[in-house]
Amino acid sequence: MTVLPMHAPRRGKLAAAAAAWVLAPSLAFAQTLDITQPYGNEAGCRVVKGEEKASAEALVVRPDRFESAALVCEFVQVLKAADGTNVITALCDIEGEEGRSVSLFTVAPSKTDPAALQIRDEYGAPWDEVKPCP
Amino acid sequence: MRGRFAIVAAALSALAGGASAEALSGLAGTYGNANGCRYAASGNYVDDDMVILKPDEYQTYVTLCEFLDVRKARDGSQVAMALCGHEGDEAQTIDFLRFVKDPSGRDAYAIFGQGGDSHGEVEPCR
Repeated sequence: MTVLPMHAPRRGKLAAAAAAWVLAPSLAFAQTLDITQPYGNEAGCRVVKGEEKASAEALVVRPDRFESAALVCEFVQVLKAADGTNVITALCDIEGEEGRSVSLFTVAPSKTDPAALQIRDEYGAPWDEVKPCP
Repeated sequence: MRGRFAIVAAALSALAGGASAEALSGLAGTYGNANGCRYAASGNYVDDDMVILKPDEYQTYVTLCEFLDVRKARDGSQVAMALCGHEGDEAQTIDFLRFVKDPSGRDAYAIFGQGGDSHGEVEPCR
């Protein structure tokens, strides 16, 4: 059993205040994309609307994650470049893989459709294009 | 008690606030290798081995990288996460670069890629 010293409540307050101080600056680093509704590819938006079950091909983008039946990537850090490109560090659970992996992505407005977002991997290879789900 | 709290808070604030930046610290102005500095001065490419380093970007003959997050390691070197554009390629890549100040104190930086490969050394362009 842990025995708390007599000054524990005071120290607890100090620790809480200190923790808040540390956490406050870290909040400056966004962990979300600046979107207000789910985005998806065609299949992904059908999943959002409840028209079909999640599948590996159905990609849904939410402010804090990518998700499909095959993976969930939780955003750990989102940095915005001068041209508006979002650089995402994500922690991914991928079906069939043990453990979680750290992956990097860029998300930028599509060159062909201003409403769409183009998602690429860290090497610039296109992954998918998503649009706001109606 | 208030004094102790102030010290702890100030120390934590300094630690948290100083942990990250979008620019390299310690650099004043433009740095480059010989051909990089010639390019910086004239705007004309001299050779394809040019390297230019500014506090917020790294440039070669075919690459321009914008720093998004710069962190200092315990050994004093700085690690930058960068978004890089490449000549002739529409796609941008996410790269990590490491910058090491010359250990003799000379105002020069060695640049390394993610895998530890050397990208050259730069000095202030005059």
